[in-house]
Amino acid sequence: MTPPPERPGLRLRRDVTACDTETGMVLLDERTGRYWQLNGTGAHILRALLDGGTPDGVAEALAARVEAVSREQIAADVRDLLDRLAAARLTEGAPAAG
Amino acid sequence: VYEPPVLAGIGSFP
Repeated sequence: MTPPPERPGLRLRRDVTACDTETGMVLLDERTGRYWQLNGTGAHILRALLDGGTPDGVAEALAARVEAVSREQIAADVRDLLDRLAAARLTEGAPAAG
Repeated sequence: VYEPPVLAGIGSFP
């Protein structure tokens, strides 16, 4: 029996559970027994990307809400966060392009 | 006020 095809887009790995907290989000990796914490900005970005947002779109929306930070800087932070999440083996797949 | 995103490992599961 073949496994169901993976849906496209960024997603949490099968063994990872996300739990919202007052300050952001905690991610539990049941495979390794480790847990991770995202601050409020990180949680906001991850939720938006898991919901199908593009990195540039998420950065643009965030830049419109905050002061004194360029969209380019936030876009770089989004890409860096994506790299860290993948390196920690918390996410798989690629975010929507656009 | 913008705070950069932070991902931190905070531990593991007598």
